[in-house]
Amino acid sequence: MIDSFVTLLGRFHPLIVHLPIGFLLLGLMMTFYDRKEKKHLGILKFAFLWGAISSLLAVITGLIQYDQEGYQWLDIQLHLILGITTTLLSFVYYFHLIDFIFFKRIPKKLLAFSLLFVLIFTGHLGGNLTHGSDHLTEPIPQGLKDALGMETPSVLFELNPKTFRELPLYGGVVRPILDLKCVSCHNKKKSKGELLLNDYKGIVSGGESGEVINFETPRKSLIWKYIRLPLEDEMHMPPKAKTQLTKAEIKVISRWIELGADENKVIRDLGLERSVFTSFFPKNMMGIYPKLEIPLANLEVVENLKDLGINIAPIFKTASFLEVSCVNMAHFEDQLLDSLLLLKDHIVYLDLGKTKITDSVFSSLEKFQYLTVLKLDNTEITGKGIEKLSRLIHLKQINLTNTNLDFEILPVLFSFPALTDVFIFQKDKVDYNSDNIPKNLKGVFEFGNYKVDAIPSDKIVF
Amino acid sequence: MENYKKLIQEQLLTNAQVNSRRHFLKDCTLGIGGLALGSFLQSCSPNAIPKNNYSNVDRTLNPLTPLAPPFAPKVKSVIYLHMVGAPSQLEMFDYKPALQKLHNQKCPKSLLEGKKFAFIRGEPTMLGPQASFSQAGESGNWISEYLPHFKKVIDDVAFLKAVHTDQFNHGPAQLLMHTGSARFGRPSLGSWATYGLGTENQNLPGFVVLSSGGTPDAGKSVWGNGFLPSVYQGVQCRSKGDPVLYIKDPKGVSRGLKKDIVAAINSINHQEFLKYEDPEVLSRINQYEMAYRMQITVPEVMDINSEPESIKEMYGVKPGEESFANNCLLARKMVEEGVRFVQLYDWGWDTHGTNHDTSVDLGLRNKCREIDRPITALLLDLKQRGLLDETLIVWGGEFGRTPMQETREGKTNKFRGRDHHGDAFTMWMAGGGIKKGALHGATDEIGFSGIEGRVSVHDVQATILHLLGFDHEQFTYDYQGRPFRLTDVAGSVIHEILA
Repeated sequence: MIDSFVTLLGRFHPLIVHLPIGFLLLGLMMTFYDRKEKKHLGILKFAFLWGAISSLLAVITGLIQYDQEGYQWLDIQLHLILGITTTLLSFVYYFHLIDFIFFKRIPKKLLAFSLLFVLIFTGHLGGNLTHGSDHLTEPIPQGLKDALGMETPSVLFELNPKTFRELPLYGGVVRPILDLKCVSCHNKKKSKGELLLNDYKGIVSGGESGEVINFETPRKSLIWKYIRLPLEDEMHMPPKAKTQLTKAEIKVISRWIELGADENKVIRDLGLERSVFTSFFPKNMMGIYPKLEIPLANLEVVENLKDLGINIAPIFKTASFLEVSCVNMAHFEDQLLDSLLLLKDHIVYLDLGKTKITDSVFSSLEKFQYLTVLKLDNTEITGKGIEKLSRLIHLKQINLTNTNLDFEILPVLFSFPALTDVFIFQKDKVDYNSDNIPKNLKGVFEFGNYKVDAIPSDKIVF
Repeated sequence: MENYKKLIQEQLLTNAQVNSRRHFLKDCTLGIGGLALGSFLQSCSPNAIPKNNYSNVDRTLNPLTPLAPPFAPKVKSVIYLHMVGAPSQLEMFDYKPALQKLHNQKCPKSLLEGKKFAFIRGEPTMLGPQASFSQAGESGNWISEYLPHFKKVIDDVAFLKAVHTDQFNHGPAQLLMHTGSARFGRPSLGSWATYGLGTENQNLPGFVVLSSGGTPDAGKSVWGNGFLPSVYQGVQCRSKGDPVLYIKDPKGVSRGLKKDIVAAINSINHQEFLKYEDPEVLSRINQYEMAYRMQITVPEVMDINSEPESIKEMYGVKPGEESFANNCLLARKMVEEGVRFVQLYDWGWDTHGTNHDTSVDLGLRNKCREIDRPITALLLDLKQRGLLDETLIVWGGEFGRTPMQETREGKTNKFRGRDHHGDAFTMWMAGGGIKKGALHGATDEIGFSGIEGRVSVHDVQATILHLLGFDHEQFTYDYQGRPFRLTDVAGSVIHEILA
């Protein structure tokens, strides 16, 4: 009986704390207001006396709550210490006011400011305990957070494609997923459905619906079921309004449960295929282009060239490498390429198709050190001088369709270091004997000249 | 008269009360302060233009300037082949031998419970597949005898066998497929693409629409710009006669005169813009200029006679007629010229079985023959020109068809036909970023519902935007006070068919 009464008393802590905050703040404000005339000493004494008493009450109820409700020392230590400090300081201030000789040595201003600081900070920490430490930062728009340099937890975690097999499946993959998407509601401070997902122990102990992992028949596990219910289903987890698990995450959690939901087994021993994890590997933003960080090109140069009618855009919004197309410049001639040389260290994709260029462009083109895709289709190019491009170690694709290409120059291309695709389809041209192409390069050369042969059924009308 | 004076007095008094010195001061301080605050906070906005890249592009003068997407794109252009009326997946791609065994048997009631059909009433019977199927290519994917040529390219495409939609009538379903919403008013896929990326070729529209056989049921809204500036709507080109109506100069009007006219109109419009700053005025200016440039370029590009015989033969084109084959060849030419989005509509796939042309055993064969060769040629032609890796080809209808024979008003239709069905149908994609020969999703034994790998219309749209370099959840347009996106609040990228 007494016990439950004490617990009840503890639960009044969040209510009682507001009393000292109010009384003491009022007192401090009055002190400031009354600093010259000093007419209201009586009221001040009253405010600080009750501020001190109520803060003592707050400390007592707070201690009861700490004792009874299972808060962790690490979480509350600062709040507790500062709370007691507030009580002490308010009593000191009160004694100061009633001219208690012992405390008269302490400067009043220092005392007032310390009290103000400790009071506000204690209150803030208490707020964090009840509402979560992101209570105030959460509603701030992301743009402002970035501008202020505030960290936001990443929405994704990444696996190293080379070493991921040495990680324990739970600790290395499943737990980070749960931490990101489930733990905000299933943790020690806030445990929806009385379920904790912040550590292995919590998962195994289950929640108010019992065990969430069924070790005998894994597919009957509640987690296994709930995460794959339709989004509209009331039991679907995470709830509709929260960040959802991705398909890959559902798969990995399911496989972990199906394989016995072990805490420590590493991925290698469980024999899981690589494809389960590929979506957690770092995304390769650069695609086929060189994986290099280079500074931006001179923006003025870019703008001037654009004004000529050349299309220039980065390969993606935040990239430094550029993609250049002369599709709107049918009159583009060899000399104009010299102006593009100003961007030779930035252009990775160059489309000169359908322009008036000739073979002399190759001596300029060899200076584009990061050039990866080169389109020379529908031009007068014959290929003379193309060997100069063999020094371009990033050059992967060359398009030479519908040109005056001399097939005799093809062997020159065999020694290019990085080629993956060479398009050399020529309409109305004899086939090149493809036996001359080394076996390992057969797939690189696209001769085209495809036919769709007529078949009898083409003519049958039903 | 007295009353009139009183009224004036009252009005003056009210004015004086409103325009008081106090109000003036308040407006000045708060108003100006607010303005200043706005500019202070600008850098906090997530949409603020970051200064460390090239993306500070001014689009006011040319709303179609090419732009880079936020992520490295897999494709530059899209060719979307839409079979208007909804093709029967059960005669083309989704092989269901078990349905053959159930042919002519009564459809179990449990299958019909809670389902809505456009026409089926009463108790329909099951209708077995009317085509025979075989496996083709290294992928071994199933293909119907209706599409003999398609076998040649089957290893280049990735099938989605369990797409589903919640619409069962043509108009709304087409709108959902192309605008992300079954109701009017949203921008179409091509409009989003050109809004986000602009277009490479400034002498051609960025979003071209070519139709054969008829206009989609949902009308021109399926290529509409919705709430986006109207410069992003699709431009319909005809493959017969003048590609764009009234594109030729009228008699007695020289090209030079035309140029002066356009210049004069545009300078007036520009003054209008400086006065009101309405972006629609810029759209109009740009449209005049583009129309002027297009007068030269469009007839050139739209002329399929300039292609060599071998290519015309490959597609099976019919010069001078309006045909799907012509449109496929035109689509390739457009993409080659740097058009961002080419939308093809082929009409006549609504195989209810009410007459010969709409039967799945006769009329459908004719429709399949009309598209089989051109589509095969399109994929091969893009491949040999090095364009397949830069282009996404999407094929599909607005929904699928039932495994049951249609019973209109309780009576079995005269010909073999199937009703509208949105629970499971087939679509395919090919080109850049697509896993060659992939197969995702499966339907139950009779092809009625998807049982695995079900994907929604919004998933398909999210995937298309993904390949163009967008995160469909971030790619939004602010309208009527909230950001809108193509996929509304749904959709996830179908990674299973991505390379």
